[in-house]
Amino acid sequence: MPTHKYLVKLKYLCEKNEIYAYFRNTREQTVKRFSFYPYFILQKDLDAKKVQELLFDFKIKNFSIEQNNGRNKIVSSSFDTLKKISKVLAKTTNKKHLVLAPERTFLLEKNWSYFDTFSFESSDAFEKISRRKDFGFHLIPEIAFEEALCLNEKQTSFLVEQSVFSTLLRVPLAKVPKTIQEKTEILLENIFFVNGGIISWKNDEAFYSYNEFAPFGEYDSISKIDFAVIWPQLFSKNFFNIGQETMNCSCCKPVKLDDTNLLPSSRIEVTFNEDDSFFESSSNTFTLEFHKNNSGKEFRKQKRREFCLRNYPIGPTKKDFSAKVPLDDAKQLLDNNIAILGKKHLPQWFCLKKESFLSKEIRLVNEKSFEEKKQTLKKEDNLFEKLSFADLFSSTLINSMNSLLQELPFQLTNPLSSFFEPKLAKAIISIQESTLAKFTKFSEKKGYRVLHVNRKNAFVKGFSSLTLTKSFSEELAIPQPQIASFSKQTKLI
Amino acid sequence: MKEVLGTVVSTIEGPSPSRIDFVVNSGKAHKGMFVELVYSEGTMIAMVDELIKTNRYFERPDSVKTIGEELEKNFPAADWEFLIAKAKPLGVFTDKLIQRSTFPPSPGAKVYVADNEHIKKFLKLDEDGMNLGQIQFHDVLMKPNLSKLLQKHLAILAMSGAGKSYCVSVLLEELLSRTDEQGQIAVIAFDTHGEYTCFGEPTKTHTDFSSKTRVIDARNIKLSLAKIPRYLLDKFLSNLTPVQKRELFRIISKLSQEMKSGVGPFNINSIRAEVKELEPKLATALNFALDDLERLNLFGKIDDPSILEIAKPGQLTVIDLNGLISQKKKQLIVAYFSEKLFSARRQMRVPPFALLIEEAHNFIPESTAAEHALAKSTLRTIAREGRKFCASLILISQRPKRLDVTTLANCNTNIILRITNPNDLDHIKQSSEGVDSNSSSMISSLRVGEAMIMGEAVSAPTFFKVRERTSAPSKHETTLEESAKKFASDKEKQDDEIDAFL
Repeated sequence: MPTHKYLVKLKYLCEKNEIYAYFRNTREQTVKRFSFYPYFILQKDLDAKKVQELLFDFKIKNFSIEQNNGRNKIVSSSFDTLKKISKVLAKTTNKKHLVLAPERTFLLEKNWSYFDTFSFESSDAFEKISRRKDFGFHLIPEIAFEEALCLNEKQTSFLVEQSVFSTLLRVPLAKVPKTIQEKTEILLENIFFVNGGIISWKNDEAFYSYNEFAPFGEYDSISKIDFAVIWPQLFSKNFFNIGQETMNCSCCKPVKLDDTNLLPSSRIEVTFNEDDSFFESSSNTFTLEFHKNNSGKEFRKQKRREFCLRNYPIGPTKKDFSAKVPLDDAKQLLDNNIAILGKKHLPQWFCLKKESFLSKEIRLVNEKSFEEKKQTLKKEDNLFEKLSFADLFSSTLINSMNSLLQELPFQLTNPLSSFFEPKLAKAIISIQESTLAKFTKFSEKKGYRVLHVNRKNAFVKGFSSLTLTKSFSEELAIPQPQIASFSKQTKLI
Repeated sequence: MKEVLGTVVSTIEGPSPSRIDFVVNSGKAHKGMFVELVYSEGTMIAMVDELIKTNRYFERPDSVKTIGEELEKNFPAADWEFLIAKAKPLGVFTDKLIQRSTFPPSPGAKVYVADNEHIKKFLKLDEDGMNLGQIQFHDVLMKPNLSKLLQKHLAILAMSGAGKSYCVSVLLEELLSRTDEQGQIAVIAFDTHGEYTCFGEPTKTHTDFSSKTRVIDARNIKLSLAKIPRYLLDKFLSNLTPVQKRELFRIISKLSQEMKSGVGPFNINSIRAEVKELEPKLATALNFALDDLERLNLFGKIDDPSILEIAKPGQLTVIDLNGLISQKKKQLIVAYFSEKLFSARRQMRVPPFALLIEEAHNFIPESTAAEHALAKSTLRTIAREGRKFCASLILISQRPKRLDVTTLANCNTNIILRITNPNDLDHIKQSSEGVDSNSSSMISSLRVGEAMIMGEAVSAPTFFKVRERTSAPSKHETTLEESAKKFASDKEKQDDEIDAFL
């Protein structure tokens, strides 16, 4: 009869080039040894032979370049050598390759994770299986999980949460970072490593990050609408298929302003019809960029002060003067006959054919989350049953997957992240800003008052926002933002 | 050596400090001419306000009828013809200053045509002043000082077709031609008929002022709801009940407060969202009022353009009200911008400015219900207090009778062109001390392009011929015949095009 064991620990022995995998159940522990050489995937545009010559020039010898699934990977018997190779390549090619800990590389290669369940037919024959997790014995060996939950719910839940992240991020329990940003960074490392994504970019492009200030004071009858939940879905193939390899592809170049794959971050040249006019841009980042780089600062400051604007207005315009403005602004200006369309645009678009690896990963996590939800729902039929470890793990897993996914766009736009790339970050921010601007406009049209928006939430006056979010989602054919809370009196943060 | 024009004669009335008569010995004297005479007090400057020819041979009607045509053959009648000029002393030059006339000259004193320099000095004309034209009968340009002409406000009054717009165009040319050193002010013109939009059009045949002119089509103007003074909105929404007004203003106050807290400016939709929370009956009534406001298509979150953009030194901003039909909308635009400009000027946020109001009687009427004259109180305030803050009014009207007397009285300089309506003339007499019965009769006989200036800008009412404009003519400067011909030719052209097309 097969026994079920959980993968609880991995250990890399560099001198033997072996990985020891520890599997446990309540009764016993099994250790398996795997031969493993650390590696990283060489970026596509680097020629294997030239890289080899280059590394020989640097007197690095104990490595090999192997081909695997159409990709070159650099394999070395020593992890230190691998790190050295990565540094050399970073210096010479300006492209830093992602080198992960051998244990994590091993898990990614095998598509395993900590606390995965394995069925052991015999000591040699075993396989990974999908089964509800019940490894509370490993986390709290002294007492039963249910008892621990009763004694200290907070600490017990924390342990479960750590184990969930350990599973999701493929890092040992003790190395799960504290903040969601750090966790997302690890998730991105895994995604980029598997897909051979570039992580070191030439960050010579100017990037303006905008500080959002919430209005001060307390406001009555406020619905808080959560937009963070829709961003991961918006960045999947059905909507904006953005990613390093799908942006500005050669196969789907747009030809007109209404093309669906044109990103809001595109800069469209317009020529103004009027002198000294101002307009409010839909993009905060463009506003900041325009304000810093154009004359008339005092006018804009004055105007902002005079009318208590949240942002600097764009202007003053000059007749027959051309400027490159974000796509949504250009459409607005053309509709209102304030400007005419120019010729020299800076379009940004995404591929309509090939799905980006970011989109794929988001889709996979979503599917996994959906599966877990289905299982949890089945289990919830029996409400009088005690909360088991498997239940808590399952619900925490769903929440953690969602929180990681929701943080993903913010991490990709965080200049401190290794995965930050100005063009991609601008595209992400522009999609968020454009959606929020459309939401504000739509709400006003429907008689709602949007008091404040930031990239995560919108604060709407009144308690009938459910209808609003539903109609907005239908009108724009995008996922429906969720109501985060209703408050009689609240601050807009 | 100056040419003697005549000699002071003794009459029952004078010579006195306020009236002298003189017989014209040589040359020509004209009504409105400046003359001077030297006497013990200094050099007296006077203006001829009447001329009478006498001849004792023709004094008796019976003799003239009996002798008839033989009179001139048999008697030296021509030698006994005299031209008597009646002049009003205006002031006396002494060594140091100009004084008013307090002592009469002696009969027999020689009268001369006034020296050009004396005229300039006496009228306080300025070399850097505004060249409006030429003083009649003298080779002197009418160049009043900018401050004297505008600081205490200016009214340009004339009947329709007498050359008001032409005169204003000349004034605008002068204002726009000033250099930094001479001092530039901002000019904002509320142009009811689109008379001054030509200043904004580039031209090669005339002086081009397009770079210094901004024409704003009033149909595109947006006013910030948050910034509209409550009293103005109160007048505007006169049909609301006090309770409805109270609720509306409460909402607006709340939104304004939130705006300052960082929520940002609001619009009519924001008010609607708040109105939804009120009881249904009240909400319905307020929604109707909001519908009315929305239909005007005038209100937005922020001013467009804002006052800082329309008031720039050396720039003429023409707010073209020609495209608007709603009188209420015109009133609100004039009232709002006047209020904002004056308030900004008080805080020194905008340069000194002149606010030019065409058809001023529509905006500052003598007697109309408050809701129909939204701008009246603001413009009155500017007329009263504007001098201290260098905020000037230039009022233009063809119906002075309908213009608010207080505002008109505060216009210390008047340029009056031809006016024939006796009611209007009486009204001008009432509001301007400088106009007497003689001047009044002269105003009604002025020809097109001739004007009289009086008040603060000049020491005495002076007639002058408005100079030729150098800017492109207004599209309205066309005759009935020309319009008829143009219409016919356009129609013919259109028919030809249709035929060609078919």
